[in-house]
Amino acid sequence: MTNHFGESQFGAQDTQAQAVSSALMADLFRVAVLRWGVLLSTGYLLLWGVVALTTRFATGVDSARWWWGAIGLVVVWIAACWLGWRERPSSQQARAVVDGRRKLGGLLMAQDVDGYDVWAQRLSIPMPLRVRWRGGQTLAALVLSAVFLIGAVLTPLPQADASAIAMNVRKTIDSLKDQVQVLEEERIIDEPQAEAMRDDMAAVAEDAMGADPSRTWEALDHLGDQLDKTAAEAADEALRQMDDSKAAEVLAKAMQLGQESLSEQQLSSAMQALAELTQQAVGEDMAASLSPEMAEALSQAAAAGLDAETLKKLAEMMEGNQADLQAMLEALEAANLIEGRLSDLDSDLDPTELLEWLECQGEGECDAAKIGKACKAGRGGITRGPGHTEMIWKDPSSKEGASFEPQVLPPSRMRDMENAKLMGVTRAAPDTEPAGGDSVGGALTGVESTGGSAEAAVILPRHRGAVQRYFQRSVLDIEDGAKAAPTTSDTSGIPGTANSPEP
Amino acid sequence: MSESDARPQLMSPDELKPIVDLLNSALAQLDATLLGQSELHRMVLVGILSRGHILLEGMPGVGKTALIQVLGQLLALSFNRVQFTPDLMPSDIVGSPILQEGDDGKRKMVFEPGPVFTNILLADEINRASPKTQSAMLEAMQERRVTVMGETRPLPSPFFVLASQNPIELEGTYPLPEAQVDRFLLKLHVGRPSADTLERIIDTRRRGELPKPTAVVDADQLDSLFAAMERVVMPTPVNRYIANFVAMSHPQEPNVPKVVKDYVTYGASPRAAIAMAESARAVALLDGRPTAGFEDVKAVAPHVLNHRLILNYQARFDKVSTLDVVDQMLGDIDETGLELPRGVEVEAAP
Repeated sequence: MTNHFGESQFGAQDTQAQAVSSALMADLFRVAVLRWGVLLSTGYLLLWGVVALTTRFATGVDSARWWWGAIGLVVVWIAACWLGWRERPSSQQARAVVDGRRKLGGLLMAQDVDGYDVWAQRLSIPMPLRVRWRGGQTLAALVLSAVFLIGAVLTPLPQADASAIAMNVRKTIDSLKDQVQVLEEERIIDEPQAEAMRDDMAAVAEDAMGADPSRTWEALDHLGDQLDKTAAEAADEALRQMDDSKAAEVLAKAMQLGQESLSEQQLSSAMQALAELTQQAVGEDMAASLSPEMAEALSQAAAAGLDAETLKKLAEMMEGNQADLQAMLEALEAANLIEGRLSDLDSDLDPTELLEWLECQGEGECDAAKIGKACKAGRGGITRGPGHTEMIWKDPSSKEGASFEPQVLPPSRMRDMENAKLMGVTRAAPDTEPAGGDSVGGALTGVESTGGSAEAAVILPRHRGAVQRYFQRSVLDIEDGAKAAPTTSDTSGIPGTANSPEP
Repeated sequence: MSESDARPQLMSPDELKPIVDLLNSALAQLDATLLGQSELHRMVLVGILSRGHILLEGMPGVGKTALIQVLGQLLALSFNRVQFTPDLMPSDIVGSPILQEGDDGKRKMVFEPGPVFTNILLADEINRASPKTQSAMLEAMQERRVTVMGETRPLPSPFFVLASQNPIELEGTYPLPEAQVDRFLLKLHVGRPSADTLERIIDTRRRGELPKPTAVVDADQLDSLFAAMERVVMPTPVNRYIANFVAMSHPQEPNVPKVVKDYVTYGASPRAAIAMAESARAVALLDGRPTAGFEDVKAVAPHVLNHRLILNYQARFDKVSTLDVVDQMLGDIDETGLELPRGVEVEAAP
């Protein structure tokens, strides 16, 4: 207890005591603001995180906009200041705290009483007080809530993203557009068709959302199938035209060679066949593909015939037509619209052989249709082309003598392989089967070994003679020299074979 | 100081100094007479300054009666001693009318004052008197007057009852009723002296004779002390602290300390709050301050509430005394009334 009559303890100024109580008020206010701020911030961050998480799950809103919630922290701290201001102690309470903690005997609290001035001069200097907040748990909760918020906003949500973000089908669409471009360039489809397909692809790309990926892929597959079907039809037509072009070319060359040797009727029939083949090769609009003179000549070919120069030009034209068609097929294959169709091209027919065949035709046998068929080389199959031998579809063959008796085959060793287990992989020689395994091959086939390895299997007495004869024969062969050596390689030492020498 | 006085005024240091000197002198006289009981003497003076009655409790031979005798000599007041016994009657204390013959030869009933008509009444072993006799003290102690045969007679002023009781030898005793215990301002425990003090007592007290005080406090000086007591200012926060403390001694109140809820059956009365405030003022005056502070309240709280809190059986089972409860309350209740949030503390800067 302070003795207030001890002269050494007096002399302090009242303003210092006031300063101590004022500092205490300020410290309490600061601590209250800090405490409320941390508490409210913790709650706000948790709420913020929960709302962000829930909304992201529900709608898949982009996470960047959630950081705008930081504005709410300003409001939170303003509220904390307001609550701290409400909690701040009054000046009388602050003086009471200083008086009580520093044991000033109520003198500091009697500031408003008359006569205080005299005592204020004698009031001992109170040491300042410190406000301490043990808010470790609260701060830890704030950190945890902040971590929760960051996790809630930044953690990727696959389900939400997949449903919210558009699918990236650009690569597929670009590939399809390239194919459309190829079809358009090769004049397989016209410009309005190409534009319609591009519009369809753009619509699919725009509507491609992660929520329903199968729908997008179905639409893209449909577009791809449509392109493939169009390209396949064009390839079929091109191959047919190539066949016809090639036939026309061969026939033109044969006629060019046989101007002198062929009869009038043969030439007339060949001319008619050539006109038909040319028309089939270039299509309906023959005048657009050939020169007008050529088209006119071909139309009159059956009656007036074609000279050698015209036939040569026609053959060259047909070659060019084949080259164009082949280039188109290569472009389609390069665009992955067709696959393996170039191998369907027929092989070339020799014009000389055709000329010989034409010369052999009698007067009544020679017509344009027959010549047209003869100009096309077959592939040897029965599905396409005439083939060299005419197929006769009558008198079905009897099954007598051709049917087989059903026979149950022994169990295959592959069945055992199905149950095999991979024990390891090694580059060394495999270990032999231990005891109990069947010895395989040669004279020991079917002989069961009773112990040890296969190499140590016991050879029964009735087999010993065969083994002995085998080695005796080898010795005789060596002694006989080169005369006996070539004939022994195919016997393989199997006893009882025809080539085995008798002992 | 009456309630009509406009504003309180702090005593100046010059006014306070002779008061403190006088009190220090009285304390020194008591300390010189009864060795090794300085704190007890201080509390006794607090009781005197507060004009309250004091109940001394202690083992036989520790100096209870001697303290009261010396106090009576020191204060230069009239002093009576009553040894309370089971057959003591109320009239033996307050007095009774007796038949006397006057000068004119006529006989009439004349009131013969009892020993209560004095300034200091030593009620020795008060718990040995019957409840009827104990109750006769109620009016005298509270209202400082007695009524006999329908006639009320005031007691001399000041009037103090300094009672003693023995906590052992309870056979044949009558524990004081709560109403009477509550009338004692303080209940002081007279402890046994230490070995060093005993050595000094043996050296200086031949046959137990007490030295007479060399100086006395006369009636005028005592009045000046009482006047100074009137001017000791009780700041509002201290006043609120006392009120809050007494209210918190009742387990029915909200937010009471756990020790109260667990062990207290009945809390302190408003008379306890008054006693605590007056005692705190007296402690401040003894310390030479014109204002009472929180530490003054804390100094007197155990003695004021010692006999006023009624504990339950659980306290008896747990061997929790009233002083333990009060000490716990002093630690739990913040004196400033500043409700700091959990985790926030105001502490002295290093």
